[in-house]
Amino acid sequence: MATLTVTKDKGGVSRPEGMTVLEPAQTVPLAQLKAIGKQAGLDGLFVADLVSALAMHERHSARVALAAAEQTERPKRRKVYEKLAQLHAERTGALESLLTQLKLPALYVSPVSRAAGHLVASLAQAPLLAGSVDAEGRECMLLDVAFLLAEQSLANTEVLTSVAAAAERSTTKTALAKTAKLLAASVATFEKVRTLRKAATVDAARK
Amino acid sequence: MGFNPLAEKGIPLEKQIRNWSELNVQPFDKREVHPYTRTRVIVMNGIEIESALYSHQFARHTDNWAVKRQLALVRRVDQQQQKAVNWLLPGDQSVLETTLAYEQVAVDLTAYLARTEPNPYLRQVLNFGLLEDFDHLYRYANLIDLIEGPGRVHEIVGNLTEVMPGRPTIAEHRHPYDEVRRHFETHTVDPLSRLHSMTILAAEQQTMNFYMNVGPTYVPKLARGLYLEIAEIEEQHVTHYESLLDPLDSWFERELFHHYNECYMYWSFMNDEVDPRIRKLWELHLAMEIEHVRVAGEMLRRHEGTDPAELLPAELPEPTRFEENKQYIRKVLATEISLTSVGLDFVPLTALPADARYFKYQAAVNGGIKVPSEEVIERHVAEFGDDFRLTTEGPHPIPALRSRPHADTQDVATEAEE
Repeated sequence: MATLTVTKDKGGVSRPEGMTVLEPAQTVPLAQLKAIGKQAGLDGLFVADLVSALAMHERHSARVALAAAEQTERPKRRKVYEKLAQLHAERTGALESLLTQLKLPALYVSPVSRAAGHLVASLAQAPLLAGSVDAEGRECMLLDVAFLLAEQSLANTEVLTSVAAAAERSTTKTALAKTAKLLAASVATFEKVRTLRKAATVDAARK
Repeated sequence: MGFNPLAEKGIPLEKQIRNWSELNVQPFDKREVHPYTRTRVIVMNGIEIESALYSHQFARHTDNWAVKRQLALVRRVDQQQQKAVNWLLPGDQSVLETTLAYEQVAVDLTAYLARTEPNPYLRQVLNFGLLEDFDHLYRYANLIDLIEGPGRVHEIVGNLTEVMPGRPTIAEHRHPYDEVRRHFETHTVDPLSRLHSMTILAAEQQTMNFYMNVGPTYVPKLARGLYLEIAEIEEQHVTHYESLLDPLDSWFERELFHHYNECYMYWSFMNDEVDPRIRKLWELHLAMEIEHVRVAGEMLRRHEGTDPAELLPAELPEPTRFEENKQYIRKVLATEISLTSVGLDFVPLTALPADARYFKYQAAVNGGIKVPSEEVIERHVAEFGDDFRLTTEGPHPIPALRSRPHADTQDVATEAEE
């Protein structure tokens, strides 16, 4: 079961960087993060932070898709958003499971994952300007947001697949490859969003 | 099971608007009121003002009609709550008496938050501000003694809060770069740390605004000067405390956290309130805020897909209380008075190099003039033979700051070296 909102109560942990401060009990030691790369010939800290960022993207995207389902006036579009929300949530679960397989806390929030979450959250701010956009425009805006998040998920799947391929034979490589394969199995749904966006835009243009 | 605002039923929003008569409450009697009832009133005024100002900022970042109108309605109720709370202050309580109460808030609220703060860095930040506000109470106490005559300080603070020097105000003026702090991380922060940060920021922000506005209402130049000088420190404190909040939180999340904190504070104060009439007001406002949490939660769910129950703790943390903190303050005085800040960190004043920007800023604001926070003590000594203090636990823990008629900064530096 994926955690879509990470808090201390649910087990959120991180590492301090620059401006952030943490309680000692919420801090993941650098050595634990670095350790995952040792046998795989990878920079463990970078990989741990990357996986955390991929999870955060999916987590925020699931929530944004739920918000889009709530806001759209079109029943068919609502179903698409609900399907996307479910898919992003499943991917969150897969990536949390990967962190656990790498002997890291499932809810490790890396510094770069904060930025990944903020990136999604920034896109989700688009409806704050809904008052100066007409009904068709608002639907396009919601679809644009869902599309951009789906594209990022597609690109992230490729990234994870490539990192797994670059790793040397190890338990880390196996875990990365297995998760990348799992994520790749669901990309067709994301690709359909691109098609839907194109078709919806043409439809709107014809009216 | 503790108290969870999300599980409670509040007053429906459409039934929360009150008429002028309901809002124009009977003020408390300044001679009868418990000092901590007065401080609770001051804190809740600051909390409501912060909530209203935040809501205004949020409204300026959206043209979504549904969001704007919901913010406008909740904000109007918050504004009414602020009037009902702040109008409890009596008209015969002088500005300086109210100022003493503001500083009592700054001392005993900050000390309590520091004592109960789970995050060591945030505790350090609170302790740092505590010693500065503690000194402001001492400076204003000397001013009120000079302007309004003896007995006023005890009437306001009772025997609950000691009055003696903290980190000397003259030494508190630092370069703006040295007021910025690190912040908590929103996914890992203890709910209590978030509430502490929001509460102290609201209180200090209100203190800054109060001094900014009432300072020039005094005629004596010394009083105008002291308000001006301490108002500038309050600006530093707002910079210091606002830094603690994680900027990652969205507009909708912060709207929810504001109302959650209001619930927490009304609930905390309701439990300790000794004045039955004012306790009823806290209860009423809690019931209103429970609804505000629900409304903010619904907006968060609709616009960001976040379930408020997933974001908020299962129950309110332990309440925030006004109680005596004398021994804690004395301990912090003894161990941390000589600290200053450089960038994001705290260091002993004696560790600064001669060319530190601290000294350049000190020279720019203090150099070659009479500094009001020092002058007020000198004037008191000249008129009464000594400075004003109110101590119940023995002499000052720093020998150099035991009653004497000369400047403070030199003594603190010497003490630190010893």
